[in-house]
Amino acid sequence: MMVEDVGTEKLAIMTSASHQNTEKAEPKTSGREAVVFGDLLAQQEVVFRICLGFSRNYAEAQDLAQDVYLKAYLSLGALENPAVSKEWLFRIAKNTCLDHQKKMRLRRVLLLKWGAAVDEPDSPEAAPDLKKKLQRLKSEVRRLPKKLRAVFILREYGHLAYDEIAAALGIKEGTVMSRLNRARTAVRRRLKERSHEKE
Amino acid sequence: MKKNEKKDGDDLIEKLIAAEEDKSLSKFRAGDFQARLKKRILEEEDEKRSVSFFRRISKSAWGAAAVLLAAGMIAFLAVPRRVPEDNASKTLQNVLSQMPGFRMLEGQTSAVVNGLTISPTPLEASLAAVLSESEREQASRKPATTSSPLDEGYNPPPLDLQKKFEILIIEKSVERFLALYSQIFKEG
Repeated sequence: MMVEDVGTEKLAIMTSASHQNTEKAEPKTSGREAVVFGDLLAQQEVVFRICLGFSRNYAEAQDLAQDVYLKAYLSLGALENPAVSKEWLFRIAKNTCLDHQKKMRLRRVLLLKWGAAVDEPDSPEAAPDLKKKLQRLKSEVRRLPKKLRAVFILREYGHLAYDEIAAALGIKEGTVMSRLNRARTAVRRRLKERSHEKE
Repeated sequence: MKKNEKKDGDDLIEKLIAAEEDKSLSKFRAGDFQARLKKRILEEEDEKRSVSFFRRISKSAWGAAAVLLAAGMIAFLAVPRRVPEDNASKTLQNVLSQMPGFRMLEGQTSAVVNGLTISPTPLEASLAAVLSESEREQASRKPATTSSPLDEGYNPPPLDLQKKFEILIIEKSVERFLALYSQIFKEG
């Protein structure tokens, strides 16, 4: 039900966008692209969950999800094989989020260097226990190496299958499993260490 | 023991992630993601469309060069060039009026400069003849318009002093050019 609704509404978006494009005699989207974009929109919750895994809060994740779809819309013409559109979208999501994290890290470093206050979205002290734990988890995930982080988030937040992760990242399934195992072990260990430190 | 620890750790991770997802996903579903996305896509399209023609072509070096060239040509054609002949005819008249022989031909029978009686030189005489001829032709031009030039043979249109001076200047220029180049050709 959800997928069909999303597809129909997406077609409406694409139709209006295509109509405007034809007015300037430069149609950017074809019928085939509209259908592909409809399929991509059906994945919006998965994309949002992936963005949530990479970001620090809901608002950031929502902005990132929009960025992902905008990028996908603008580069639909570059997608040669629509059969792999889903993997292509997840790759865009992963790259967009990693770029965003990079920018945020740079911003944080510069703000610290200039002595400005670094904005934290939520204060762990004021938050309830679950929220504190969640923030610790997100912090530990952010500390993972890029490759491990991508696999961990695509699996734990995106709930993607191993073959989907492998296709999205362009690696083998065995590599996905080993990276996921390393990532989980690292997060688990660090969470345990932090809880011991607190005690 | 280790297996249990691992399981507990994984459970904790899954529990935390599930809690976050539940909260955020309910918000995400309530918010109209597609409507906002549509708005953003349309904004992006508008932004692209608003890029002006000149901005687009000026992005390429050839485009910029073509614009500059076109602007230069328009400026060259549009700006009126100075016509030196306007002042030149007056200057010529002033010079001629300074010539004693010419003054004499205009009305006086003779001119006396520093106690000497000066008669017109051949150049002055010919200039005076040309000028008086043109004045006479100008005076007789109005009645002559009724007669056909074919009946009386070909009569070139009368030229005023300014036209004559222009022709003189052009002829002189051509003459000097030819003289200069004939010298070069000879040397070559």
